[in-house]
Amino acid sequence: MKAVKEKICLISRKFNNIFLVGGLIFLFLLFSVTSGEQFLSVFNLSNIVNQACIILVTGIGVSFIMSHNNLDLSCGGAMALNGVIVFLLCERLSFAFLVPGCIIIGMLIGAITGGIHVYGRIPAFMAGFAMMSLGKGISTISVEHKMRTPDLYKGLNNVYFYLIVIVVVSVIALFLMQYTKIGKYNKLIGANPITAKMSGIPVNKYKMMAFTINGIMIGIATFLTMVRSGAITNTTGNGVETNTLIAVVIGGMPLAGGSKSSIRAAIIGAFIFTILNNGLIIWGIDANFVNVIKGIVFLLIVVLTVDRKHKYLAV
Amino acid sequence: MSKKMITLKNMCKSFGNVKAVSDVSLDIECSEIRALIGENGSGKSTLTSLITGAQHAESGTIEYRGVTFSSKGILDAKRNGIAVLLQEKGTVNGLTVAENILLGVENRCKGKLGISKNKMNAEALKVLSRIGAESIRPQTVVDRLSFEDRKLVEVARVMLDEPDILIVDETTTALSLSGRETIYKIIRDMKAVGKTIIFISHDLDEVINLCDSASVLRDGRFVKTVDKEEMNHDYLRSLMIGRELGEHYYHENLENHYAGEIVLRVEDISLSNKLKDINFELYKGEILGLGGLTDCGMHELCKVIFGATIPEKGKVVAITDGIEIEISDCVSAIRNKIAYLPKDRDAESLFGSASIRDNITVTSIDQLKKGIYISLRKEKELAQKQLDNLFIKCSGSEQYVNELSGGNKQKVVVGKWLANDSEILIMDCPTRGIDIGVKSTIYSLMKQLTASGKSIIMVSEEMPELLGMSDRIIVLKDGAIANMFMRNQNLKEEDLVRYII
Repeated sequence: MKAVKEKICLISRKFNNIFLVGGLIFLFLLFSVTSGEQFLSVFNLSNIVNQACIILVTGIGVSFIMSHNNLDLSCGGAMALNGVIVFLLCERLSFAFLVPGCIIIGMLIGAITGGIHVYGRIPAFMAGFAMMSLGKGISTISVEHKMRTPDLYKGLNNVYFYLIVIVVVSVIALFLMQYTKIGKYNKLIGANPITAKMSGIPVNKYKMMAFTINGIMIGIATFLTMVRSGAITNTTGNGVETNTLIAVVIGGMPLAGGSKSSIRAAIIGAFIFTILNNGLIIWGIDANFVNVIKGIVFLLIVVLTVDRKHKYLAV
Repeated sequence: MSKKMITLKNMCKSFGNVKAVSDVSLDIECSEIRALIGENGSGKSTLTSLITGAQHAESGTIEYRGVTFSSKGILDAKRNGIAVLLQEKGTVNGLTVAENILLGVENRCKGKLGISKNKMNAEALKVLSRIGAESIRPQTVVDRLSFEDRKLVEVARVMLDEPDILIVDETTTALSLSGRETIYKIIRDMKAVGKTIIFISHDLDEVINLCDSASVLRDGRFVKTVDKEEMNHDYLRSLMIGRELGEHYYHENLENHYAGEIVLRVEDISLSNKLKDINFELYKGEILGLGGLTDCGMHELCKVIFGATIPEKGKVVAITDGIEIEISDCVSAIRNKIAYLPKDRDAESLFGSASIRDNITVTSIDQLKKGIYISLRKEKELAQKQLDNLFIKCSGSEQYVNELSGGNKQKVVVGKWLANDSEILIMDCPTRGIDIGVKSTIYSLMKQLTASGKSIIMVSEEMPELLGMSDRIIVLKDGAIANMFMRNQNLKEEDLVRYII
């Protein structure tokens, strides 16, 4: 029994490095071989990119929060709320402000969620949960049937635009996470918040920065949703928070944060998640059953990657 | 007469590239008190964890009472009569003494309606009086006991089933004299009825007084087993570090050699009932010792000076080149080149699951960055510089800190503060849980630091250390300064103790 446990630990240590990229390639090959023509068609591949894009962006935002050992459950509701507010503002002013509006209001929403956690001393997942519920509620009440994205932005709904967004956002996020104080400090806060404080890291300030970055990502994701679905409806943002968390964890993000947190997890996770979804549907598997499979994959990855030596699990 | 209790044959265990225990064989007899000594990282604790099954050996066999034995874990070992007493706290808060003692075996006290509290209390009282700790009431919630009494509760739990082998892993370092005596008595009683004790300690006096024989480990290898007649400080010490060690590893110079320049002033600090009107000054280049009982307020005082605890009254002023700056929090303390090395290293000054590089560079990221960019190469250079400087034993700057031994962890903490050129170091029990070899390097490091103009506030619970290292000693009692001593040859432990108690 102990030997099995040690083996699992050993596998999980190597898992992050090899298996996740390997898993992504495996899934890709699996679906290419089994349903090649349909899966590999230009239409489907660009569809995968389009779908992965939003989850990748929200996943990157959540990564910053998870790196300091918190969870964000707000993104779906925050996106809906953000969309409604920005749309109503732009309607009165000008739709030229759509992009900066999304980012600024998103940032504010992120900062408010963070502020509730940091200064109100409430667990972050509760603050996020409240924000999600609140956002969903407010947006559903105020969504009017005419909230359609202006034609001006419809032209962006193509794979090249999404690819550019993916590359630009990923590169900036990788830089922030690996080579700046924001990423380093957040990862260290995740590793040990007391030592972080005693080493002169302004813990609250950097946690707030993580939440603000998450807000910016929520803003970008809101804009992408508007471009992609052409309107804000009362289902905007539904399920985004759970899908994002699943994707990030599938990508190998440690649940307890710390120095092993990486943006790579969000990128790989978004693609594994989307390809899995897409391929299973092409196989003709019932949508509800797809959820069952996703659940099993999720559990499997968590079993293989979770840090069993972490103080909460090491009893 | 000399029946073997336990025999270890060719035990091996490595962590990564480091061989923690390599090819160790030991024979321990019934009725024997065997000391296991060695520097930090020499493999003592690993070896005992191989016996209890908390870790699993890569090769080697254990023979216990004549049969091959392989434990599945600490609980399994306990069922088979091998019990361990650890250094760290092992009681569960919120439960009563009796519940703690009978943790996991409550079923023995079944009454008519589930588990009977009365039976548990009676059972607990029986054990407590057996070990000579009747003064602890089984009904008390452990939170309300002192650290010592909690340790005794742990002892009671271990003694509940009268183990055949008792492993005492540095338990006594945390205890005062009377607490130690209680444990010594239990050990001697066990010996009298033919049981075996494996005793791990850094305190050689204790080992020489108590143990029948001592096995020395060095770098994971077995060096020698020394019999009672041969045991003496110098011999054991030289076996432990593999070379002769001079008697005086403390400060040799008896002169006060610090300059007259004041670098830090503590003014009228008061903190609820812990500190009362503390006033003192720290001079450039001196080691200021702070001594007293554990709860005299000296640990809190360190936190106050570093800005981690905000005092109710008074202020701490750092003085650089005549400019006075009041310390308001950790950030301003660090900015004014004050460093804090806490007593509880793992919890307060290390990121265990992060690399040595991350741990060392955390305080000096601002010096490394260009704009917002931090170069990984520069980080590695800085970390490597400290690794070379302090001779930290590791596989490289990317190794995780929680894989290091206690002494090397402490060196990482020192490295982290040297990396940002700290001028004032507040060291709270800098050699706690560290063995002689590394202790002497920490001492010589402190001497080097002060010689280069840095100033040190050293809190210590060990009298020889205080007397040996400090230029001035301030004794605290009940949160107030009881007296101050200058360094001088005639100062003896008794002089300090008079003011401490």
